[in-house]
Amino acid sequence: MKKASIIFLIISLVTSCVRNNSDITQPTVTNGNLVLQVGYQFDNTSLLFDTIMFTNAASYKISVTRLQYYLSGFSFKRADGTSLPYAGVFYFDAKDSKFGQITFVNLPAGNYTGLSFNLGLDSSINKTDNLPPTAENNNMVWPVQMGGGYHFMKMEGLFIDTGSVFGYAMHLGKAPNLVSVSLNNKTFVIGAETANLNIKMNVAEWYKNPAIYDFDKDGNFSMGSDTAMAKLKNNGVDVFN
Amino acid sequence: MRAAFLILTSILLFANCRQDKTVVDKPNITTDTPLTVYNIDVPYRFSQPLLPAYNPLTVEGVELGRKLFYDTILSTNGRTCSFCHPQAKSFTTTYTDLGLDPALYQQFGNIPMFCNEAWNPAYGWIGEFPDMDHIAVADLNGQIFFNTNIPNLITKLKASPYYSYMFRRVFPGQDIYQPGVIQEKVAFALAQFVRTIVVNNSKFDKKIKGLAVLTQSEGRGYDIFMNDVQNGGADCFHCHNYPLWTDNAFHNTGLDSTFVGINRGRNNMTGLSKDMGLFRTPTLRNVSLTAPYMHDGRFKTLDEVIEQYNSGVHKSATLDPIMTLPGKEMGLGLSTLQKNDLKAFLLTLTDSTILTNPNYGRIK
Repeated sequence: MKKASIIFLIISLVTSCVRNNSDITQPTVTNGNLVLQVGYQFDNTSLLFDTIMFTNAASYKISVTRLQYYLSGFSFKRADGTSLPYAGVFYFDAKDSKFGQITFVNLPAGNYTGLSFNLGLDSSINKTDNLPPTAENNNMVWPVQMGGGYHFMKMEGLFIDTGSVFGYAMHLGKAPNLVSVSLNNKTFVIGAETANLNIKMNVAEWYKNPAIYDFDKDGNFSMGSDTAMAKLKNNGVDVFN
Repeated sequence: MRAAFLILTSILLFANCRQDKTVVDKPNITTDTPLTVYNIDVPYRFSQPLLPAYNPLTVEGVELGRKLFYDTILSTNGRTCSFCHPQAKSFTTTYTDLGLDPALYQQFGNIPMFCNEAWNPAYGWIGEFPDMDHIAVADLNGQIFFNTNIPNLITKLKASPYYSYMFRRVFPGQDIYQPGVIQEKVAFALAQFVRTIVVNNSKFDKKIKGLAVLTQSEGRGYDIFMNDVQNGGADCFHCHNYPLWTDNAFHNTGLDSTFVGINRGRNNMTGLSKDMGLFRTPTLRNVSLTAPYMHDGRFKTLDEVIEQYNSGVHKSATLDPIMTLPGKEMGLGLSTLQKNDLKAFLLTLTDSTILTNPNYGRIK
């Protein structure tokens, strides 16, 4: 009797295992993640920081010593023509790999054909002390005395003008200067595996298309000049590719 | 016979355990009792403090650090940490006041104050200390300030009922009485205490909370501080931003045009030409209490500092872009009234309560 029970138990376990295996079906993947990585270039050259080695459209040799900015207002274009908004504000620091990518989680599975986003913060977000008080956000504050909210971007460096070295600070902020970016040629598939999408900021584009930004004429400090910032905003539409 | 041996062994083990865990002056607590987490009250608009997992803040660790901070046991010359970092002077002082050679400014730099260190990502004027937890190791190993004799220190700590207990309590299960190890554990405890020094009760902090009103002069100074040059300001906020009043980044603000010795700044650490003359932005909290100023203490007064930025900026290849203000490359060109207003605002960043806060003082 005891022996029979053991045999029965073994058979039950084996059949149970077999039955379980035969029941396995691949679950339908309904959601997945996307990692968006941002790289930097100056036209066709990878961006190297802290060296005066690039020539911009106004013919100044320049360096980049700081490049910090926010991306927000993401929307992903699906193959069926619908769009999927993704809320969130993402801080980037081009010199710090900790702030070099975004992981979008739980996106619906399927084919995507593009994305759009803002460089900066729309007026619903761009309010004084509205972002969590991280060290990075505190460093991006745009003083109340100058309109409040946050810097959308801080891009700084040095440039050579008639043989002498000067500094520049292309700072962007204030509601009218939100830069709207659309990348319609970026395809990716969300599935079981985390998808990767690489985009690049071409820093040279901040100084051209549609208008050449000239430090001498337009100013090497943009923050206090709505005109200078408007020019940067218009040039910024196609800095990402 | 076997049973008797087991009983004897058990008694010996029990007695041994009791002996190990019973402490002369804290009989109700054993070294097995879990440590108590120390929570820093994060002030308004401060980010979360940067606390390393390898040296978490505990009530016991902070107490041990505070005790050590004021104790001559660490030195062979009667000095304490508070010798160079006296609470009554906002945890800094001058070499001259200490009777030391002012030439030390050129060797070690201006004595740093302790202020909101829990939020600092790096320490020292050029970021030479990646964490606070090992800074004191250098002092304990060096001969300039403490002239510590490590074997003697170990002997003294072992002989002290308080320290003997507290080191086992704070660092349980660790054989800390080893040269090289004891320095780290002392430094860890000191770092825990220093991280608890939170400076956030200035007039300006009260103004933010609606509990104080700036005078007209202070208000004008605030506007000068927070506006860029094109708007008539001094553009101080880019490096000295609220609430820490520092961006904790490295800048060459035009103190020199040529760089020798300590004035080479971060270049002395990295060797990179881009770091020539760069120093970490100091906080402006308690700036009125922490003269002299700059990494080498070259300025005795706030007026001298303001004048430096007003008319004395030196150009060099690494001058921070923010300092190359359009049309004002040599300085801000503020009027006397504007300079006075700016100074008045800086004085509102003073939190004198830390000078007497009993939580930061010597343990009675």
